[in-house]
Formats: sequence, C-alpha cells, structure tokens
Amino acid sequence: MSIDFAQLITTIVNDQDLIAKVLLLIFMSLYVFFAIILLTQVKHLSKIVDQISVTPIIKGISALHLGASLVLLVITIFI
Amino acid sequence: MDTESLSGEFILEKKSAETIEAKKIKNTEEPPPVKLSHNDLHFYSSYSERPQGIRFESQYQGEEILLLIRAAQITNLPWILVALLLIITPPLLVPLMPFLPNLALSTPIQTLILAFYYLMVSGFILVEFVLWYFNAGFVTNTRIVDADIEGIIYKHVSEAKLDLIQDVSYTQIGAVRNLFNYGDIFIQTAGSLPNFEVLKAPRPAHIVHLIESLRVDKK
Repeated sequence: MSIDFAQLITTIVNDQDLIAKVLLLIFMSLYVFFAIILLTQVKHLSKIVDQISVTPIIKGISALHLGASLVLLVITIFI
Repeated sequence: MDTESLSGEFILEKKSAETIEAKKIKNTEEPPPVKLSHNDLHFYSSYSERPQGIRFESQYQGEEILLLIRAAQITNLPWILVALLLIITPPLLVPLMPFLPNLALSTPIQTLILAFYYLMVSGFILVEFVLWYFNAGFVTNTRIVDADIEGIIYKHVSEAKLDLIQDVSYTQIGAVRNLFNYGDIFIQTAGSLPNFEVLKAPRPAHIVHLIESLRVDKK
C-alpha cells in the first residue's frame, strides 16, 4: 500500500503537465475573480466619468477580458 | 526716550500700513479673462476646453463643463514601455527553450501558459489605462470636481464651489515636467472643505490662470 502511494506521488511529481495544469487552474481561477472585480469597477467608474463615445468601449473591453479569462479557464479544465 | 520710541513705532506702523495698502491693490488686480475654445475630445485627451459628449456623476442640469483635466499623456509612457516589453518577451525567450533543463511540457499546456500570460498583459494594460482615464478633474461654471482613483478598488470624489476657492497654485519640478509642460496643481479651499491636488496636469500655468479668472468672476 505504501509502495503504491509512493509510486503515485512519483508519478504526479514526474508528470509536469499535471503540475502545470493544476497551477494554471489555481491562477486562472484567481484571475477570473480579478476580471470580475475589474468589470464591476469599470461599470461604477463609468458613472463618475462618462465620456459617451469611449466609456462603452472600455466597458466592452473589460467584458471581453472577463470572457477570455472564463474561456481559458474552461479550456484548461477540459484539456 | 519714550517719545523717540513712540515715534519710531509710529513710523513702523505707517510703513506697514503702506505695505498692506500695496498688497490690497495687488490683490484687487483681476487676472485677464481667459477665452475658452471648443476642443475635440478623444479617448486619449488629457486636456480639453468645453468638452462635448462627456458628463460626470453629480452634474447638475445646465451645469457646463469648462475644462476636463487628466494626467498629461506623457506620464503614460512608463507603463506603455513596460507593456511593450512584456509583449515582446515571449518571442525572445522561445529560442532559449531547448536550453531549459528537464522541462517537458506538452504543446497544449505551453499554449495555455502563453495564452494566460498574454491575458495578464492585456489585464495590465487595461488597468493602467482605466486608472489614467477615470482619474479626471472637471472645472465647471460653478465648481471644481476631482475624481481620484488609486488602484482598482479605491475611489474618492471631491468637489468645491468656485467662490469657496481661496488659492490656486502649481509646481513644476524637474526637467521632464518643464520639457513636456505638466505639473501639480494645488487648490486651497475655505474652512474645512477638502483641498484639491490635480497631479501631473498638462499646461498647469494656463489651468491656474483659468481657475483664478473664473474664481474672480464668481466673486
């Protein structure tokens, strides 16, 4: 049993893809959280300073940034 | 002895009275009026007179924005250079990859890491631009409004009526600030009202002159 466990650990440690994937998942989850905060703040700040021709574009880019973060997170989960 | 002392004091008093009178005359001199033109407003505008197509949160109906002030465009150069460096770094590192010891990541994982890296770079650019863009000051026909954004989760908006402004000054220290004509503007208000600092503002002398003339007009 202990030999199997040691083998398992060795396999995990030697599997660089698995380690990289786990780290990516952790950092991407945090990044999605950051992207949500960024989008929320941009929406709030748009009320303070509203430049009619530019503000919707900044909001759109922030939403796109969040969307890209989510897509990348999903791809990492299923790859 | 006493008489001499008294006369001396009297002379001193007279002199100081003259000085006060001179100061009074100086203070009553009104700055020449400033003519404001209409400037086109772009996403990169750091200074705009009578800007069209912009409003702020607490703007009253009929309140006209006379001036929009953001930090001078040149102050964005450091983060733009950092962003460019971050963008070109991965292609420069690719030739070095074979020399990295014991790194055997599959192509999909490498692609994901690269995509995540560029996502973070785009996030960095977005945050820096948002911080510059929303850090704006407005001079309207009745008051001054200053929105301070520090970091992505701190915001502070302060305002003061033009007739409550006591003193407007600016500093321009350093060769870069003089070369690109930007500096820090300080607006002192009466009583317990908050004072304003418009940092790295373009054309500070002109803005100070403009606020001064608006203040005099209000009084």
